[in-house]
Amino acid sequence: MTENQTLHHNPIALHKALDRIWGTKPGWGRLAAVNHNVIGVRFMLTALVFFAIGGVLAMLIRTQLASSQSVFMDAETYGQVFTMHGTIMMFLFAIPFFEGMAIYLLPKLLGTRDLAFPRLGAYGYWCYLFGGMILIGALLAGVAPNSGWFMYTPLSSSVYAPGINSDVWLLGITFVEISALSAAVEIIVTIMKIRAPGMSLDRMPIFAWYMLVVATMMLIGFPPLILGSILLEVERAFDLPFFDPTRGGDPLLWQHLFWLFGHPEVYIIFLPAAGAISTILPVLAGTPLAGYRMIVSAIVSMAFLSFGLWVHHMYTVGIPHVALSFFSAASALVAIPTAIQIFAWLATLAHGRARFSIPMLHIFGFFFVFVIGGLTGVMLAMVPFDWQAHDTHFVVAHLHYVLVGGFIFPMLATAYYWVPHLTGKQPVQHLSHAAFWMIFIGFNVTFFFMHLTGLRGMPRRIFEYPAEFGWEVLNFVSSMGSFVMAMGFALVALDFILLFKFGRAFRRNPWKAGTLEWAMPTPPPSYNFASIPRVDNRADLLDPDVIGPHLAAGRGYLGMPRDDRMEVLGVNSVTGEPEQLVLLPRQTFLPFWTAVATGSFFLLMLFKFYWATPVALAAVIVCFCLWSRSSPSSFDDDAVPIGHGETVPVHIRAESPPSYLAMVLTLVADATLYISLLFGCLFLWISAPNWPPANLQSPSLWLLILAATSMSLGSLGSRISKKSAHMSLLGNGLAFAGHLISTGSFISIAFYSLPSASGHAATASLFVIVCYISLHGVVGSIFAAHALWRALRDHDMSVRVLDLKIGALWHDYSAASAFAAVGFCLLLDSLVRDGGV
Amino acid sequence: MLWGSFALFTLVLGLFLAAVLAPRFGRGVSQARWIILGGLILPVPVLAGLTFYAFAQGEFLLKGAVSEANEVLEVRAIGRMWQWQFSYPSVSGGPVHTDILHIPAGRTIEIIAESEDVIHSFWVPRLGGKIDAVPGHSSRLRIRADQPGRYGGICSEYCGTGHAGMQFEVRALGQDDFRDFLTGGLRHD
Amino acid sequence: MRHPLLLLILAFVVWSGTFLLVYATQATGCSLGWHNNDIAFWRSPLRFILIVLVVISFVAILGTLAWLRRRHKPAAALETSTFLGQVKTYVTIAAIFSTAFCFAGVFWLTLCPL
Repeated sequence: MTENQTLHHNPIALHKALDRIWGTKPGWGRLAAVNHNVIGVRFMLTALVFFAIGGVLAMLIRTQLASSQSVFMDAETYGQVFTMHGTIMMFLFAIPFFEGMAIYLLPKLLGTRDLAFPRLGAYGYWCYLFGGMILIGALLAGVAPNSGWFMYTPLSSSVYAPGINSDVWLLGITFVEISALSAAVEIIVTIMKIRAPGMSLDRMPIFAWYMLVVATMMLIGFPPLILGSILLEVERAFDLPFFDPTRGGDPLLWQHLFWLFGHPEVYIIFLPAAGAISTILPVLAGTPLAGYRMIVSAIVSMAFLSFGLWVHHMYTVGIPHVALSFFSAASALVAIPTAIQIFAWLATLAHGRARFSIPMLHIFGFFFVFVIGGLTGVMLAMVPFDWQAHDTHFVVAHLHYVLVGGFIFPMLATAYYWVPHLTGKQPVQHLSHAAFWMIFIGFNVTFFFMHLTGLRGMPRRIFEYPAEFGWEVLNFVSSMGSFVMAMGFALVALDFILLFKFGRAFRRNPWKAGTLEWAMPTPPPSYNFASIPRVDNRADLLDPDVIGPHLAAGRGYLGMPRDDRMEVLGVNSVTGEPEQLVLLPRQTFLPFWTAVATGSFFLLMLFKFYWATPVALAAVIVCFCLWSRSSPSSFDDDAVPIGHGETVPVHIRAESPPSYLAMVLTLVADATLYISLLFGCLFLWISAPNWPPANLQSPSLWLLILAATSMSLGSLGSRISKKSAHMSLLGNGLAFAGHLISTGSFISIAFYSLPSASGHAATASLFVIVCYISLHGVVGSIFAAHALWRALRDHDMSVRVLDLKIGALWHDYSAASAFAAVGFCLLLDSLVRDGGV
Repeated sequence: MLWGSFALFTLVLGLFLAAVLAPRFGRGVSQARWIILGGLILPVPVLAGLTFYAFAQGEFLLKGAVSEANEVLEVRAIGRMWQWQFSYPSVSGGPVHTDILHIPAGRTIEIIAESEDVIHSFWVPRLGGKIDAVPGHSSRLRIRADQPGRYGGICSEYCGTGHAGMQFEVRALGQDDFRDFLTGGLRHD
Repeated sequence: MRHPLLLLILAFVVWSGTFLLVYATQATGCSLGWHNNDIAFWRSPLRFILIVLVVISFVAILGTLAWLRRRHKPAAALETSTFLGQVKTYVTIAAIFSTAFCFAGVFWLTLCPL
């Protein structure tokens, strides 16, 4: 207690004590960083490097198209360049950049010290970096993907793309998507659980609502893409025909899976930017955000609607009109939530007094460009118009208006608004105006004229065009505009370099904002808040100038460092009342090594050393098992003081700890993938040519029942094991055995009972479904083995209940999906026999 | 549609500039009213009208803008890297041409698009419409040239390095010329 | 399962389910040839099935609104539950409107490929 008392009310001593615990170590210790400040900034800087590479590729494209028969690039190089431009901007810039922004900002806006799973964030970052490096390496080696960023089969399948180009895309992007999924889980759990006390749902800063919606969309949107990539890679590597029409596959399956991800993706990119505007704009206008509830309702509705319009990328593939009408109507509807947000911002501006500061200027750019993009989007949503404009430069112009308007301009506003927070310096602002106008004018010259080029019939993705078609002048104008825009971006970069070098320091809260991220010193310390605030108002209407010194003096919650533990508070997801003390893991190299192991798996796949991949997978599993050993030491007491005379249990003994929610969310993503797989196989039955297969021998019913029943032993075992320490041994032993038997029977079905999987898409589907279940069996047996080992070693049930609860979730899901697989086998069998057309 | 878009664009940008530059502007209207007027009352009727108009228009185009009585001529268009081959399934022993499609003017044509390798897309900008040729599927599109003449056509789905050069020409002929063409009378130039 | 955020999205979950179901039914129907005899308006069995599905889900989603209104009880502080109640109502109304708007096409548009 003496240490605590000396620290109390002495900000400097408190800072030193906390920074020693939370700070990242120098030198090699940087590879062990788990702190969200470090990880968030790394995400953003890496994304900016990729943005620059993607920008250079765009310059190459515009140079090529500036004249009609340019000899600058040949068709193959051009194919790689436009494919990589799209891929980099979407997967390596836009998504990671806003992830980095959310990772950096969320804990600060929510009034806490870090995200819920710091190690997961670090692992995600390394996956992103390594995956991106694979893609850039391929670009430099001249074997980059070349089938367009949406990789339509069969152009990307092994017959028409025999090189490793497509594999680079499929494996590299899947590797990068690990970071998107882990960020999604981390963001949702943090927003639901790790907030400042008193921050009920209605008091959350609006940005947290936006990110909650975005992360949920990512959780549902990415699995179909990952599934598609896996299936296509499996087709390329092992000749399982999912997309090959001669063997019962269908190229349209790829399009469905890709766009089921691809359209929500646009909103996934737009919403964080909109969230930033909803945070910044009221501050600049000096008045609270109008229509908080309307906006929350609008973005929730938007999230759902955005999943109902993927087919609007496929209007020209011959889908019946009535089906198109669902998607067309949803595409029109999704404009309404956008309109609500735009008018909420206008209402805020009208009721405040805004001036044209630099962020405001970029918000103006956003309004101008995004509204045009939205309007052309409504035009394209209309089926007859789309039949004409689809796959022309009109679409290219539209999507750049939406993405640059909806993401780049808001992000520039964001950068000018928050870079002072990041650096502790205010801009010099000699270049900012000129840079804005160059980007703004350059952008509009480039892409406005591209609408016309498209309406005059110029298709996308052609590397040359006949001079007599009359597209040359417009293309030349576009190219000139693009160079002005590029110079504008260079000026922005220079502007920020000047800021880092010569920026003026400021005291606190330069924009007079009402959000918590300004209630801390800038640049922010590793632990954000020396003590955690209690929030008694909506968290964008607070007064950081009062709260800041109060927290720095340790007068909030947890203002007393204890035994080198990294402590944050876990709250009730609705009321925001403290429920648990969450102990975060310390700095560790494990995320780095786990990502290296994961990367080695992807590289082995890429270079076709398939025999060695099990070793890499085993290494990944071993690394993940080691994670639990680096978990923090706990308290022995049931109730731990957190300050202000309140006590709460530690998270491993709490009612609903963060990791439990994380497991639920992981299973939601997993289930989305599984459901997409089952629907995809049914889709093949409906749509693909060359059905039914000549010989679909269904696996023996008894073997199927044995496999599924033994999988449900896992579920039963986990129920028994919660009863007592002895029952725990029995239950987990049962679960372990069940998983092993089940995995064995499913594997024997896959390899002995089914006819050759490369013969027809039907058997290939069953094969993949059975492999999916086997994989769950393997992971389930690892969970059970881990629980067994803990039961033998440690007899205190109370510290193991959490592990068992998480394991039980997995066992239950595995059992349910095994029964679904058996049902699906029987269904497909009967459809092929009786209902096949 | 163009003028409507222009009007909406001017409206939103005008409101933005007025709200920022004129300090008293829009303050008399409550915030809730701003959102309801601009976010619901304005877009809902516009979007609803547009969507249902587009449904009707799409239905019209699908039927090929013809009454049932008028006979439709089928043309099989097979895409392969990187050319189109056109034939007439209803005419036995009819002509087969590569990259040149002869059609009768003033009659509705049903294109049956198929592919032998990757996805291509049949598009004649001035005749409207566009249909993907997906391997394993045959998809249909109705087009019509009212006047005899030559119309440029182009593949509009990226299909590999030869994509840019995968152009073709539609020659719309008068009724008599077309009959000659089908029977091999019209010389290919 | 009674988490207020899950209740908030309930109506749209129904909408999503309807979307999948109607789209899958339409595709299956075309594949199995249920759309034949499309001469008189009601003779097409596929159109009839689709209309029934859409009407059922519309009623279900209206039912959701009614159910939500009835079971509305303040779980948290008054402010929080008012907030959640209001957002829930807005979102549910949006879902009802979306259902009517998205699936109106089943009444007359061409059902299957030509």
